[in-house]
Amino acid sequence: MSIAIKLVRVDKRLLHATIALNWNQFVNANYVIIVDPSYVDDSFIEQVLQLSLPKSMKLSIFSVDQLIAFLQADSGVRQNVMIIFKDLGAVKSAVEAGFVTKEVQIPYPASRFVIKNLSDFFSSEEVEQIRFIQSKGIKLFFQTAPLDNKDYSAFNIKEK
Amino acid sequence: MILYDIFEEFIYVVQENDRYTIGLLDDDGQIISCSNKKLIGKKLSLVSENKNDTIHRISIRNVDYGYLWVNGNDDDLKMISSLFLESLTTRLMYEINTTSLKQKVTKDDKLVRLLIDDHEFDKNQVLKLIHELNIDENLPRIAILILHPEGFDVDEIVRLKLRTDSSELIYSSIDKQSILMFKDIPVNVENHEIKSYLTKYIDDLKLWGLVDCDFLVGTPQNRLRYYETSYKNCLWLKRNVARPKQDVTFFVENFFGYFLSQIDMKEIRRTFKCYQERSKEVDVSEMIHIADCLIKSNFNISQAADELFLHKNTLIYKLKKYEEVFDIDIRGSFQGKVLLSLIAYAFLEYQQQLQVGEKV
Repeated sequence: MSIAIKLVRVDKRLLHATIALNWNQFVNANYVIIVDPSYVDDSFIEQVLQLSLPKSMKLSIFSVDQLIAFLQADSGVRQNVMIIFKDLGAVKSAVEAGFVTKEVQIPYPASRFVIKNLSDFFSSEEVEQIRFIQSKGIKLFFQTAPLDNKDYSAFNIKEK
Repeated sequence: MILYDIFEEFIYVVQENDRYTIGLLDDDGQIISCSNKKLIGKKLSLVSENKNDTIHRISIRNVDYGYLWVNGNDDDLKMISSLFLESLTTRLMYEINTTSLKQKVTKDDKLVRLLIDDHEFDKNQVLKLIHELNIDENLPRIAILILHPEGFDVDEIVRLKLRTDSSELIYSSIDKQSILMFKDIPVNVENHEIKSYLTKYIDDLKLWGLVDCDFLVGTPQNRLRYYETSYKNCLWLKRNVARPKQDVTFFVENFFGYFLSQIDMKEIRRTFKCYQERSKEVDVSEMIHIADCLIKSNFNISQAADELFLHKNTLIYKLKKYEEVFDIDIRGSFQGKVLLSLIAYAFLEYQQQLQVGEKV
């Protein structure tokens, strides 16, 4: 398979500077895929986001179905892919459609308070989405920048 | 200047879209670059009162690069102008980082060349670069020669510097198909753990993107002057050891072969030539093969016999013959075992020299 998934992240801010600069270079990605159905047909937004990266790196905005189709097709060219989902709902839809990954990264909450319950930070709908994703054997962890440790613990807490 | 080149790409996208006008303003509000060329030179107020205009300061790490002006007549103007600003600053930061990274890699290149210069070790120059790169000269490091038959992606190699475990790494492309690294070994890694530490590190490199490569690992060195030895270990592996493709080969696993290769084999061959010629019963090629199997099986006769598809007694018979011919005690003494290994290696080298037509 010539597509290697280097990072899967949920970030509502999509391709902002932290991701483009820190993660993209750190994980050695040369293709950024943003999964956000609301911008799928907006080529202008895609072009503007592409401007934040050099021409040697490609960027696409996909729907969930387009993501699955892209991953299943083999272009023959080695592509190191970083996938940014707009929200947990998009990850859940992708997993339901057959998307396979080992783990999903979520940036720390801004305050980095100690999370005792997932519901302190996530809505009940998001908690359900997290549990669904976990039920498919996919791990979730908090990590904002490359030098941060991966924190899986908060996602292993059982809701009270 | 890099900002203007990047901004030209933004202008191209805006001109294709035709919904907005974008411009770069200097500190006085004068338009110095614009998607509408006719507006260049015009002056704008930096505090815009027009609802169709947005003006943002372009600032990166406390350095100002002027202002971004976006003009448009739709509801998305605020969102689009923020997106333009973010994309522009992100791209600028990216290019600034890449430039600084390339400067660092250039210093690494110089340092690696000084470290492997076999004519003269220029200590002052090496230390100067070490200090400029802000790395610890006292950490032990080990050479890893990475080979890829089709060559490496230059940008990818530069990005190696961004890995969190690269802060003490020294590396350079030796040529299109080879990268030489001097990888630091953390102080808490014991000598017997070095191999597993590096195996994990190399596995991480493969996952990161260095796929389809051969990895040759030298010996750990804690003096800058001896880094060259570690590199030469890798070169010796490259030239002399048959290795599985796309795998890791450690010099430490080839100490015996290496030191055998450093002995003056001509002298050994001459010493034993007469013994060998006086007895026509010794098949030299077979003896070389038997000695090789004995070495690999730690002189375990049963194991070596299995490897050679011989009955154990047949192998013992042949060893007795070598003992008689060379007047050495192979089975009973450690020295005899070493001597058989040396004799076999000396004759092997002789055969190889004859094969390539060398004068011997």
